[in-house]
Amino acid sequence: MKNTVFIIAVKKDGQLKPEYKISIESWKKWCNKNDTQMFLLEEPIVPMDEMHIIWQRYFMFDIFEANEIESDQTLIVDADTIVHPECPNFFDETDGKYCLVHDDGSYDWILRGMEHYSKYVYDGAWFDFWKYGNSGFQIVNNKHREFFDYMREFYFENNEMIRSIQDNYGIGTDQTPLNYNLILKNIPVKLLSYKYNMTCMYKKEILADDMLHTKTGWVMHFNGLPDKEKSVPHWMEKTYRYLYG
Amino acid sequence: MANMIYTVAVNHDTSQYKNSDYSQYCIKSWESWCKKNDIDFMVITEHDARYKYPVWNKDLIFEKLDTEYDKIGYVDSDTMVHWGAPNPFDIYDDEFCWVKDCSNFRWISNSIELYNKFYLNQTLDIYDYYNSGVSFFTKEHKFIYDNLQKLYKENSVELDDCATRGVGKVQTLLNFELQKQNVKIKELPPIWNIFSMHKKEMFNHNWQDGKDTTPFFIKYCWIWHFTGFPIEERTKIMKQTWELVGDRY
Repeated sequence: MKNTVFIIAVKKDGQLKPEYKISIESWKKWCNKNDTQMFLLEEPIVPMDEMHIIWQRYFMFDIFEANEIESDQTLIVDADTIVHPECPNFFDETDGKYCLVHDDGSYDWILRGMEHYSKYVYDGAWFDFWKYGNSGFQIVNNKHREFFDYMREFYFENNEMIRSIQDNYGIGTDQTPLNYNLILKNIPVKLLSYKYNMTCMYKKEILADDMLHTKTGWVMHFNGLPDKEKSVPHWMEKTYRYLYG
Repeated sequence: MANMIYTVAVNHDTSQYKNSDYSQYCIKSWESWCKKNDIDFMVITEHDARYKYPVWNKDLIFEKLDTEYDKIGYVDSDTMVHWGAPNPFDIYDDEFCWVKDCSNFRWISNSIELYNKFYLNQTLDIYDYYNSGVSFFTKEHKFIYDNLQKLYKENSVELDDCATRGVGKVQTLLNFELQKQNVKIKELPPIWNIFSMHKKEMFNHNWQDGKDTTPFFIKYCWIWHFTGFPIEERTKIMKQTWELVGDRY
């Protein structure tokens, strides 16, 4: 059975952002090289005003079933990433566990999120902040289907509170609940190296004209950049050209 | 046998800022914590003339001890310990313990490149790189410090020149040396050496909560390392921290 790379690529106003096309191109090439299939989620499953599109990735197993897609392991990756053409096959490093990469880009954002969710949703529960993973790169397998079902149930049961937290505190969508739910449901998690999800590259001081970011890791995640409307397309285009010609 | 923690707090003309201006807060916090936890504490204040830069004095610890300690902790003089921190000597056996450094990969990459000439047959991965500002080890690690002393003796001119290039003086060498000797490492979580706090936004508090204004680093970490931001800010921030929590010690 093949592995799969799953990307959300829903168009906005009939257009997919050019930088997302770049991301998809890079992943297409990586998939071809690594005997991996690719799936693009191009239409939302439920209206996006009912459920943020990011939350809809937890329909993945149902989508695969409906489309008769068989997958051994699946990487769910954000469309603001570029994979290096020489990136090793990370599916070989999972040990069959739920894989994430630790996020230390802004502990202000992370700890505020953890505190708010602890207080308003998880009845004071807490976990070690250095085990917190970024949800923009998740590797799962069929053992995790039940957990995905739970993520959706959790969303619909806590919909109002989740929306209120998202709107009032600006601490993201699924990432903090994902981390809490993995811990509280005792799902074995493996944190992979930063090189597989290079978040906040600006803060790590690798995103510069010498393209150090292309030499220090494999999956470049163009988040956490200042002036993102301009900087993200700029850096993604420049990086793609540098790596793929 | 007892355990001990030491720091190096030397005022020296090669330092841009007077060490005692900020190390006074380090010493106050560690002295108090060590007393509470029945751990010996030593401050090295005299510079050894064998070295140009005072940071190298930390490698002389085994020369300076007149008691044999089972386990030893080194902390930079720009650290402070949380008054309620648990005892780090309880969390390891015979390993060399420290925290990974992933705050500035450019600096790390440049530092590895510069210091690699002293360890020609080795390659050091930036993802296997640790911060030397806080470490816990045992008496069995004496040979590591002996080797570093020997390395300095044989390469002092070149090493002192490297020290002016803005990519550290001793940290990368310790990383190389431990790798060379295949020393068993225990990676500690960042709470045992939280550095680059400005960049990690650890000086912030939950400003949306309205009640608790405790900065995150105080709330969630045990050893606070005031580095990775402009050095002229260091004394001010350590002083502010002491003013905020000094009465808890």
